[in-house]
Amino acid sequence: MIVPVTAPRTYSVSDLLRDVNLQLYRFNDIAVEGEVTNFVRSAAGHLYFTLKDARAQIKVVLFATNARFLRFRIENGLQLIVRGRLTIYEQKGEFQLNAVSAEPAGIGALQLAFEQLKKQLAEEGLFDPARKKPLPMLPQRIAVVTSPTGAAIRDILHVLGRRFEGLSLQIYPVRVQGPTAGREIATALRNLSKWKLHDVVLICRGGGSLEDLWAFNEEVVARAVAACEIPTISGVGHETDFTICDFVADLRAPTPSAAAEIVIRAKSEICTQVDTMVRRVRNVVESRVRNYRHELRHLSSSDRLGIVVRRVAITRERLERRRLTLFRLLDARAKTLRRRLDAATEPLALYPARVERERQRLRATMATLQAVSPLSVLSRGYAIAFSRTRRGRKPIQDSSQVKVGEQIEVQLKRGRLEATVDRHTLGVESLWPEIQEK
Amino acid sequence: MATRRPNEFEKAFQNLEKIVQRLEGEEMPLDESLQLFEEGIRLSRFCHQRLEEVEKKIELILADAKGQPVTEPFEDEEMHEDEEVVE
Repeated sequence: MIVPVTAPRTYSVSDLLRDVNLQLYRFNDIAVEGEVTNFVRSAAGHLYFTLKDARAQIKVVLFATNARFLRFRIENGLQLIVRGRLTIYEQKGEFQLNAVSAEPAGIGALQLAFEQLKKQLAEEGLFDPARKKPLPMLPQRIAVVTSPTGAAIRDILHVLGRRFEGLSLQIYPVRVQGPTAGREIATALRNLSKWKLHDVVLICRGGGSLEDLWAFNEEVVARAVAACEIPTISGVGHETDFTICDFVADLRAPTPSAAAEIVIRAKSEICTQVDTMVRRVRNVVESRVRNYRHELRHLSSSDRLGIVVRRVAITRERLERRRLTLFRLLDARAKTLRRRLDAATEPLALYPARVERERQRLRATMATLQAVSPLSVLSRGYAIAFSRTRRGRKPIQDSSQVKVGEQIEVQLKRGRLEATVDRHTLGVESLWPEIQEK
Repeated sequence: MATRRPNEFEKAFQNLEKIVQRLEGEEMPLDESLQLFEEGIRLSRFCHQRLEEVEKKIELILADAKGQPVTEPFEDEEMHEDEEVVE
């Protein structure tokens, strides 16, 4: 048994742990591999967990300043390689690994992050086929979210090439690589979705490493693609590259060129289909018309038509005969009517002569009348004396008809006299003695 | 940018399909088939017109300070080789 020569130094607990801590400088930069348990994330973003293997365990802290650089999520059960500095947490007297970074063991951090996000979004249903919007039948106004100087846009323009007729392409320029790329892509998608100026949105980037393509695996991009109201086609990297963006997009194209192909094929296929349908419509109608024509020709040469033609001819003849008969009848009737009319109007033709004759007779009668009129006597110098009676005037033929003093009227050829009877003389001799003498 | 009814083309296309089916599948009087034929030709003209109606162009589109879309000409060295296509 060895007996100490001198008594040991007595440390205070604090001194001891501080001293040991100083001795740990050899473990200032180490990497430790183990399985994660008891993982906790504080409100401030610090990560606390325990790394263990079959026989031992150690506490690990990863402060927020370093934790924010992690691409993947640390979770229990994960096999992790943690790099950092070994210390003693003096308050508790425990070993603690102050980590500066962590890597999943056996798999790349990016690969793990990819798997983790993919799993999470799949659980949320973001990849469900039911969520996929159908591409429009005729995508013509195309937006491309990509780098304006990258290989992707070059490939796309090359594919479109001369078949560009009837398409408009608008490039939303973004960085497709680097720390801001994911946010830029997400913003572009949100704007395009809000503006609704396009029929389809292509999200494109040329080939590269997983690191290069990383922006298209970021959650912010995945969520923006999922929220985009315009149908999306993702064409990122090469055929073998799958990104989260590919899974969320409505359609995954293996490459940017393929994305352009999809768009242009849609258009040219539609074009072909329309042409085909027009040809079919034309064929049907033309063959139908041809058939009718053929049938008509066949019919006109057959006996059946001959009968029809003869029947038509007979009918026409009969009709013509009837027409002629009708005309004859009408003509005869018209002649009869004409004769009757002539007979009726004949006496009328003699009428003017008769009128003249009557007029002459009338004139002669009037002359006679004039000669015998009392008025013609007046014109020869005679006058007529009238007495006034109650019944009107009465010619005076006898002087005894009037009394002396009576008012009488004398009608002359021109004018009339009103006179008074002065005396009576009987007989005519007194007036015209010469007549009496004869 | 011109707004348009999104389903107009699809409708015309579908109607054209229906006409083809009816013409090929149904017995109908010649008159009716000629009417359908005319309608089919009209629809196909419309489709073709729509297929070519979008102005051929390549531009940059981005958001201004207010988040509104603005377009800029897109210049690309390789584009000039295909100038007749782009212009």
